[in-house]
Amino acid sequence: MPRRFFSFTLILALLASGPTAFAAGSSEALGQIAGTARDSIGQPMPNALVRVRNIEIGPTAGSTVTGAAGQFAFKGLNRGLYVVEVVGATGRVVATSALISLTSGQMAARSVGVTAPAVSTAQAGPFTAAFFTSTVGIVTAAAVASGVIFAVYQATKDDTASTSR
Amino acid sequence: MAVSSKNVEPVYDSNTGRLQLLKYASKGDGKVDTWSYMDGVHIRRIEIDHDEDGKIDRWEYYDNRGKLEKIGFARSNDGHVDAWAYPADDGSIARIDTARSGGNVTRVEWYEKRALVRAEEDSDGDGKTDRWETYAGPRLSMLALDTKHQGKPDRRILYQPDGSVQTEADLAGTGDFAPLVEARPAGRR
Repeated sequence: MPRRFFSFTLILALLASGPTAFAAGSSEALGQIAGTARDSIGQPMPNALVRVRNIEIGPTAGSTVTGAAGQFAFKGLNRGLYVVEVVGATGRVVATSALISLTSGQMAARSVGVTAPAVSTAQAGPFTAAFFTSTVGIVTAAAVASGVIFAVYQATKDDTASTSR
Repeated sequence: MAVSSKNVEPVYDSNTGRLQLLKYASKGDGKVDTWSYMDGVHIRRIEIDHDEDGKIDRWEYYDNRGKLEKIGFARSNDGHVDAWAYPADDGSIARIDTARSGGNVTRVEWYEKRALVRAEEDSDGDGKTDRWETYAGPRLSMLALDTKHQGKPDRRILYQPDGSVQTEADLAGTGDFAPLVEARPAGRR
């Protein structure tokens, strides 16, 4: 009777401790991935759905919602290769992380950055309609108008004049 | 010796006498904001400080024929060029190359009609592309990854329009991808 009571008590204690306890009893600790989600201009993405996907086997290993500063964290992950996905309001993935490898010697990735790319040139940079307008003409005209180097204008036209003083 | 006027100042190579640099105050205030680097008759590069804050914010690069080849800009506005935009025939952006701070180009993005269509990236800085992104409109449709450092993808994730996701692998390295068998993950939130 005491042995049966002891076994029952042990089982109850293990169950009450949750999955982590089982993991600690295994030969390898579980891993974690944490980081920040940002939009295409580098601003944090609060309250965004974030998933972590094990790409060695396929399915997601967890999901969470980012905090006020775009931060997220996943714990209890097995060894493997992962990608973090940020899901936008439309339900589509808007950002993915670089490949994250959790290995026996490195089971924590704590500064994972997930940044949404610029999906249009309007987001990508200072691209006004005149972005590709060359400045050469303006500079050349100024040099000619100032009378400093007349030869520069001639040379850029026919590519034969000397530019020496 | 440089001969200067109020807003344009040429600088010559002291040995060869060839024109090396044109300094230009485009606003007519005598404060140089445009530097044209010359190779004799050819303009090689123009650097512009539009807002006159002491930091260059535009770099224009010219080929041997004087044609504008690409334009550099500083994404972090710190005066150090880290991205280059290439024009399409219609004057829109065709491609943007991005480099990590002071390093080589690590990401290339291709645009068509102002929309991102695909991108390639060397995310671990080993000189080989290890990440390929494909877009359908504003939506990421596929992410392919090189997990074995072989310079070609062996995993890919397909993101469908309805939000579903399919993960595939090229386990044999033949270029043929097959869906991964879904298994119950042991991880948790």
